[in-house]
Amino acid sequence: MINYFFRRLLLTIPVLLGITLLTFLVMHLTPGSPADTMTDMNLKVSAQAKSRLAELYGLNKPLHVQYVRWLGRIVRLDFGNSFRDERPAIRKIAERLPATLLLNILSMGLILIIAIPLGVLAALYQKKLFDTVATIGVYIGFSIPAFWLALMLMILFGLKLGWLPLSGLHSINYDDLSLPGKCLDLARHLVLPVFISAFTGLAGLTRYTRSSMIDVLKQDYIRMAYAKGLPRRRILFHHALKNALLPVITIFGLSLPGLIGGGFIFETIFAYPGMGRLGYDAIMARDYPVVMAVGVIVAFLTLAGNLIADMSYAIADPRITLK
Amino acid sequence: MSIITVHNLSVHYSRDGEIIPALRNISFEIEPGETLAIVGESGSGKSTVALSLMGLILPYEGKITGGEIIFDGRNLLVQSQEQWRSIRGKDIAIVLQDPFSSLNPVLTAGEQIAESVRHTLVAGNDIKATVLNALRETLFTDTERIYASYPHQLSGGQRQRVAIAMAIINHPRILIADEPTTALDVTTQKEVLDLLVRLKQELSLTMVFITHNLALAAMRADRVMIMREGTIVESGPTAAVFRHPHHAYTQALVAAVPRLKYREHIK
Repeated sequence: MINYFFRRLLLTIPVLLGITLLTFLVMHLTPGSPADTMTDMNLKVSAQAKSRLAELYGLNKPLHVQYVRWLGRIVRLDFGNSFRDERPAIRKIAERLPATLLLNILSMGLILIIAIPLGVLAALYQKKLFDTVATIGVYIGFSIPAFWLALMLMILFGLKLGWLPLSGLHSINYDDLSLPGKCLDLARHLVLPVFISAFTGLAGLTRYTRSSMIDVLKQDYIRMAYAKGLPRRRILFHHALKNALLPVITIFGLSLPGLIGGGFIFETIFAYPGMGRLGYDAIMARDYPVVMAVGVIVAFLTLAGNLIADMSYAIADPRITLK
Repeated sequence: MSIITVHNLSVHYSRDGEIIPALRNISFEIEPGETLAIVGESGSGKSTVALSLMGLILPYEGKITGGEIIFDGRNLLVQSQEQWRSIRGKDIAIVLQDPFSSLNPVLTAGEQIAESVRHTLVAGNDIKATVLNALRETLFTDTERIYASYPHQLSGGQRQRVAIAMAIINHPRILIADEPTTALDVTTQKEVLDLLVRLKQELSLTMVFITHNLALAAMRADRVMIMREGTIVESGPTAAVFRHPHHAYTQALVAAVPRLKYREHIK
């Protein structure tokens, strides 16, 4: 197992290199350099000033030189400073990542808590009323655009009823609040984003659990469990669910990137200080260091997430041995 | 006095909304201590008989549409799920055809056998000791290793013996073996059959042996029951049915049995 872990870790190195290369190339081949965006709208800036700017950032060097320099720095976790405000890119990410993780872990947790029981029950009441209602419910969530639902609920709960704050993660007076007050404030800001991203993301896991459970319930070992005179509860949860959840682990692993990357439209609508918005703003400003840092860190955490998913699969399924 | 009396049993399967009759009004009896072989081709309804006796036709597959199964003076078909549970695995146990799918892949053999005893033993009895003993009864020598093994770590024959251990651990009165050797290779088949015959003697079980192999039935059963298309074509003491098959289908079956002995005589 440990051996496998280290080999998987080694294998991620070429993948990471590929990701850095792609991130770098895409960013640098996009028309418009940061020197352009900073100077083009300003008539007072001369062509000389512009080339000095390019020189300052090393943008006049050949691409491969820029790439190798950049790579040399990121292995020391130095992603450079933002072109916009000169602050280290890594610090900007460190500020934003927790907010995105908080939102996505909460909504992912909510999805797991709702989707698995929902899927299991839908499987048990297959083609009955509960199954139909649950299926329609999760497909409504799946079909509704998250941004539209977000706007509608903001109008309802934020404006009409005035129950919940409209945007951001903290109220203006956050710093003056007591600890319980801070928690409550945070919770009130999180209700809508967490609910909406959970509701719109429920379908996949629910349907997967349902079909996996239906499949498992038809297996001979379930019949055998009945033949032993076991109580139905034990058959469902000990014999069936254990098997049914194995493929669900894979699906869960696949959804990990979204956990870290953050949704751009979603975060923008809620003015949510997360990774999605950071990345988008940086792309718009051709803020190379930040864009590339976001890309590399998201890629790295995604690989780590996939590795964790694989490991938990191996722990859950005795048939899989990692060599 | 028969141990089980089946009267006018009918079963329907439903597949994609279509109703398929599996058993049509069959009646038969099982005598205590005998080995009854139910012989028929696939689709003849022989496995359906086995599942009906244990109330194991699951709702999504089909249902028993009529008749009664009398066991211990009561009709099993009108009893509650709770009452069914008290019979399954204790009075009537079953070994299924395919040991590659009848064991749960994520639970150890020991855990799966232990489950059969857990709810029957009085507190204080050592469940693990009972399980290891059942494994010895099914001819395992390295019982501790088998106890801790997952099904995928065992061979087909080993898995089927684990399934048999699971079935006989409570010393049931009736053991149903539903084509217990079909999924195994030939040398293992004999091993498993001999084991079943020996256990039947030792534990004085009543055995229902389901097979599509008439020769196999002939060697080990006291009585045979020939089934075809959900009905019983012919039944009677094994030797009688073999020597004087009445029904054309039975005659064809008997004629199809390869006669090794004759060939040996010719040599």
